[in-house]
Amino acid sequence: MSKKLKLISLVLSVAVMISLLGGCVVPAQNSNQPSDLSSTTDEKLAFPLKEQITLRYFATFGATGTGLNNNGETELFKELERRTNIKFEHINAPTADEGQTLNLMLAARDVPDIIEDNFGKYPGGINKAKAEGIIIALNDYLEEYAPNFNKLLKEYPEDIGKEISTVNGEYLNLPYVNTDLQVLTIRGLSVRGDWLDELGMDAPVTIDDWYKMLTAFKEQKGAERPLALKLEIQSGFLGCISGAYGIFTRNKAPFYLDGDTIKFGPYEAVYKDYLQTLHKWYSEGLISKDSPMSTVAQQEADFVNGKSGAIEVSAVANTRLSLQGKELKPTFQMRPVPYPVLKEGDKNLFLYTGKISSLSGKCLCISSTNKHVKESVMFLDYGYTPEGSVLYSFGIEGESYQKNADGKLEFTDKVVNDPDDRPYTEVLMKYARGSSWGSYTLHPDFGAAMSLSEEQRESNRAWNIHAEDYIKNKNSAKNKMTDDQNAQYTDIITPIRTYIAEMFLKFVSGQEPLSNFDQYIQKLKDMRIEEAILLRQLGYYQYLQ
Amino acid sequence: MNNNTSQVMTTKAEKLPAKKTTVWQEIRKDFVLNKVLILMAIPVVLYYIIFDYLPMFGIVIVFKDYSPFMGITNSKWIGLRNFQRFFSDIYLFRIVRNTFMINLYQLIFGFPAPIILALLLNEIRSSKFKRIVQTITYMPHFISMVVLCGIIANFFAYGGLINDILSILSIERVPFLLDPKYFRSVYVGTGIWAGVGWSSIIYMSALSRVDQALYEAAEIDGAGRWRQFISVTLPGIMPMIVIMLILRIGKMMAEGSQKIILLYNPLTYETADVISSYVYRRGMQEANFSYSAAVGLTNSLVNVSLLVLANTVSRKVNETSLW
Amino acid sequence: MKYKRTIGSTIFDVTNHTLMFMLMLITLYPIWYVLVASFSDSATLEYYTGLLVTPLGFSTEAYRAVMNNPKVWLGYKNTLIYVTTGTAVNIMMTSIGAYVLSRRKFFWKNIIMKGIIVTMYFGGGLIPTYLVMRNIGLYNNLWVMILPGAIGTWNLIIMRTSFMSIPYELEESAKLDGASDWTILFKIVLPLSLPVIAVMILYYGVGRWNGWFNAMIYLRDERKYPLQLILKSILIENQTAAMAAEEAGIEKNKVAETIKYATIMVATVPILMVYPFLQKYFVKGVMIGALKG
Repeated sequence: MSKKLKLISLVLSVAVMISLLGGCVVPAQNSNQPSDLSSTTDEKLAFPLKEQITLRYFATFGATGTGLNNNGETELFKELERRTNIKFEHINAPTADEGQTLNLMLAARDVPDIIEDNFGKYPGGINKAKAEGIIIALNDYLEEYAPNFNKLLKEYPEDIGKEISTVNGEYLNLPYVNTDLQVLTIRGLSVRGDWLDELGMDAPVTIDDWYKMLTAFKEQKGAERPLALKLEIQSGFLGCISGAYGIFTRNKAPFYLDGDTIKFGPYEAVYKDYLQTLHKWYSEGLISKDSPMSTVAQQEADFVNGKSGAIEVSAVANTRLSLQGKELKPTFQMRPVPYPVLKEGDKNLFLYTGKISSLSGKCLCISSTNKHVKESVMFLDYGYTPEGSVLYSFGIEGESYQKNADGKLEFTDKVVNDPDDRPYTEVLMKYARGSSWGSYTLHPDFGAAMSLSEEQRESNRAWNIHAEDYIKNKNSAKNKMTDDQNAQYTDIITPIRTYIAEMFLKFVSGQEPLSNFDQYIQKLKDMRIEEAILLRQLGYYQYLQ
Repeated sequence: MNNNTSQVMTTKAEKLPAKKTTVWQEIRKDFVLNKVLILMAIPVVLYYIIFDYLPMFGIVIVFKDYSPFMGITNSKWIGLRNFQRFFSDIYLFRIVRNTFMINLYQLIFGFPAPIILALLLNEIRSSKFKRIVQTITYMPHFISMVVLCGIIANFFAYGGLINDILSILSIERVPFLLDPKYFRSVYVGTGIWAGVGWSSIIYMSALSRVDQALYEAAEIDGAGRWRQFISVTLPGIMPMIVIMLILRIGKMMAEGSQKIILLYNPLTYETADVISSYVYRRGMQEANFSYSAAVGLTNSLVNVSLLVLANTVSRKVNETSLW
Repeated sequence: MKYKRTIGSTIFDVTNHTLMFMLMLITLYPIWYVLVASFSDSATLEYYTGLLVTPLGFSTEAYRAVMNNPKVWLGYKNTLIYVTTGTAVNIMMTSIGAYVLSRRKFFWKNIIMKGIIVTMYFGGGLIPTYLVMRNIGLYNNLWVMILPGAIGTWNLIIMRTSFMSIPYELEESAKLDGASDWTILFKIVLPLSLPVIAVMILYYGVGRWNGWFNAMIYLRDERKYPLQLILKSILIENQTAAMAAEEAGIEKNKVAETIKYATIMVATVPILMVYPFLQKYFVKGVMIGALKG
C-alpha cells in the first residue's frame, strides 16, 4: 500500500502544481483610481458628444419573447446612442443566470464600464464592490455632471438622499424615481362587495367586524375558505391585521419603528393577542387548513370562484379580478376596504406603501476601470432629464407613444394591442423601459396612460384614509450597517427567522398552545433577539446621519 | 544423509518467499503488457485532470471570505470560521437528522423499487406490453419538478383529491403536507412514483444481458419459474445492484433542496428541513460562496467516508466493489 | 426463458399485469396533466383547482407564444447539434474509460478509479471551474457544450460494471489469437454490450438535451443558445412581465401559466420519441456463447 501511496501523492502533487499555475489569472486591468483621459477642462461636455466614445455596458436583458438579444437591439438604446454619440458595447447576461454572470466576469477580472446591477448576488453586496474597488462613488461628479439628478436630491433629501446612500454617505448607483405617486398605499384588502350588500352588512372596520363578516361568508355564502391567503408569518393579508394591533409582521424578520425605537413584531407582548385572534379564526375554519401551502394563483382562483370572500391585492389587481369575477357572476363586486383596527376610532398605520426612489431594480453604476467617467455620469443623468424621462418611460414618438388631445402622452396601438397578444410590457421592451428598472424618473403621464378603473379609484380612497397620519409617523425601519455589523446581525437573525416562522404556524394552528407563549419569548431571548434589535437600532441611527 | 540434506534444502527452497518486485519493476512490466491500455487511459485521465482536478484548487475558499473580484489568493483568510458558523447553528442537529432520515427512507423503499419493477417487467412475456409499460412509467422523469410538486401539493392537500377519496370511504382526512409525521412518507413515496420508471432502465438493461444459455440449462435441470428466477436472474444482475447500492450509500448525507422547498412549509420543518434547504434560506440573505462551499465540503467528507465504508464491506463480503 | 405453466405462475402473471396497468395509470397522469394544461385557456387555468382531465377552454395561445418565437427554432437546431456530437463523444470516451478500468491486469486501474471517484465528491465550485475554462479557451466557444461532461462518472461506473461481467476467457482467447486491446474493445466488448450502450445513449442524450447551464455561463453569443435555455428564459421573462404588468396596471393576458406547460411539451416530446427506438436493444437473448464461434 505504501508504494501506491507514494505514487498517489506524486500524482497529486503534480496536479496541485499544475492547478496552481492554472490559478494564475489575468491581472486586473486597472487600479482603483478612475483615469479620466478625456477630461478637457475648458470644453463643456454636452450631448451629443463631439467625439464618439465607446462604453462597455453590462446588463441582464430579458425580452426573449420579442426576439431581441440584448439592449443594443432595442430602439431605446439605438436612440440613446443617437442622442449621446456614445457607442455601447453590450454585454448581456441571460435572465436565468441568477446573478452569476456578473460574479464570473468579475472573477475573471473582466470589468465593464457601466454596470446595470445592484450587486445583490455579489458576496458583500454593493458596499463590498465599492470597497474592493470595482465601482466608484459618484458624489464628486453629481453637481457638475448630473445636474438633473442633483436637483432631485435637493428636493428629496430623505426620500432619495438618505434612501440610496450607503452607510458612508456615498452614492454608488442612481435610483429609479417615481415622484408622482398617485397612490401612497399600493396594496390592501378587498372583499366581496356584492355579498356584503346581500347580507346587509357594512364594510368591516374593526377586527370584530371582520370576524362577523367572515363567519357570515362561510355560513351563508358557502365560502369554503373565507380568507384567501397563504398562512405564513410574513403574509401581506395578515400584515394588515397585525397592524391593527400596532405591530408590523409583513416581513420574514419584521423590524419596525415606533417613534425612534426599533421594535420586532413577533417579540412584542401584543403579538400574543394577534395570534389569539388568528387561532380563533383558524379553528373556526375562517382560515383554511391548507393555507400554509397556498399559492397566489390559488388565492385569486378562490376569490373569483366564490370560495373566498376576502383577499389582499395590489390596486390594479382589483380591476383584473373584478373582470374575471364578473364573467362568472355578473353581480360580482370587488370592494376595497380600509385596513382593520381594533376599536372604532383607531388608526392602522402599517400601510404597504410605494417608494419615491428605489434601488431594488437594476440601477446603473460606474466601474473603476471606466475611462470616461464624466461622460458616463452625464449618461446616467440623462434619465432624469425631461427628454430622458420620456424616452425611458414611453419610448419613441410615433412608434410606442403619441401625444393625445390634451397634450398628454399615451401608448400607441402597436404597444397596447399586439397582434400576437403579447402583454404590453413585453412589446414595450423593444422601445422603452416602462415602469420597470433603471436609472431614470418615471414620466408623470405614465400613471394616466393606464386606465384607472372604478375599483382602483376606490382602493386609493379606502386604503389611504390615514395616509396623512402615516406620513407623519413613518414606521418602516430604515437600516444602514457596515459589513461587520451586517455579518453579526445575519448570524443571529438567521435561525430566528426559522423559529418565528415555525412558531407562528404552530400557535395559529393550535399545534402549540398559546399558554406556552412565555416560553416562546424566552427562547427568543436565548437566541439573542435583543442583540439583533440593538444592531438594528444602531443601523437606524447610522441611517439618520 | 545426502537425501536428508537435499530434502531439507528443497523444503527450504519451497518455503522461500517469492522475490519482491519493486514498484518500478511492476510498472515497467505493466507497460510492456498493457501499452495500448495506457495509451487509451491518457485521454480519460487528462479529462479528469483538466475539468475536475484543476478547478479543485478552488476548495480553499472554504477557509476564506471569498470575493470573486479579489480572487482566491487575495480573499481574506478566515480559517475555520465558516465551519464554526455551520456547526454552532441551533438547528444543526435537526437538519442533519432530517437529511439522514429522508435518505434512509429512500434507501429502504426507494432503492429496491426500480429493481422490483425491472424484475416484474422482465417476467412479462408480451414484449409489446413491456415496451408500453416502460415508455409510460418513465415519463414523469421528464416533467419539471415545479410542475410535479404542484400536482402533488394539489392532490395531497387537506381538501385535495386523495383526502376527498378518504372521506368518501369514511376515513378521516389526513394532513399530509401539514404534519411533520407524514412528510417523509409523502416525499419519498412521490419520489418513487416519479422516478421508479426511469431508474429501472439500467436494471432492465442488466437483465437483458443475462446469458440465455443459463436459462436453458436451468430448465433442462428441471428448474421451474421461481427456481430460474432465484438462480439465474437474481445472480445475473447482482453485480449491478451491489454497485448501485454502494454508490447510493455514498449519497446518504446529500439531499437536494428543490423538491423539499416546493413541498415543505414551516409546519413541517421539523422533519422536512434538510441541510440544503436550510442553507438555501440562509443564502437568500447573503451571497456567501464560502459558507455554502464549507457546508458542501463537510457533506462531501461524510459522504465519501460512507462510500469507502460501503465499498470495503462489499469487497469483504463478495467480489463486487468499486475498487 | 421457458418454464411450465403452473397455477401459481398464472396467478402471478395476472397480478403482475394488473399492477403494471395501475402503475401506468398513475405515472401517465403527470404528462397528461401537462398536455391538457398546455392546451387550456390561460385565465381559466389559473383559476382552476383540482383534477384536470380535459383542456379548460381549448386554446393554442401558449403554443403560439412559444413556437412563434424564432429563437425556439434556433434553439432546437443548436440542441440537436450539441446532443448528437456530445453523445457521440460521450459514448467514445466513456467506453474507453470503462474498458481500461475493467481489465483484470492493469496496474493503474485502482488508482485511476479512486481518483475519479474523488471528483464525484470534491470540486472547486462554479468560479474556479469557470476560470479554468476561460484559461483553456473554452469561453464563448462551442466546444464548451461538448467537452465538459464528456465523461459522466456515474455512467462510467455503470459501463465498467457491465464490461466486467463479460467472461475473461473471451479476452484471453482473443489475446492468444494476437488481438490488440482495440480489437477486443471493438469486436468483442462493445458488441456484447449493446444494451448498456443503448442506456448510455439514452442517459447522455437526455442529459445533453436538457442541458442549459454551461450555455448560460460560457456562451456569450445568444445565437448559440440551446433550446432549454431559450425556453427557460421565455418562461422567466413571461412571469416577470406578467408581474410588471400587474404593478403598472395593465390587464393584458397573463399567458404565463400555460406557457409553463407548453414549454415542457415542446422540450420533452422529441426526447420521449427516442426511447422506443432504443428499446429494441434491450431485447433479451444475447447469446454470449454464440460469439465464441
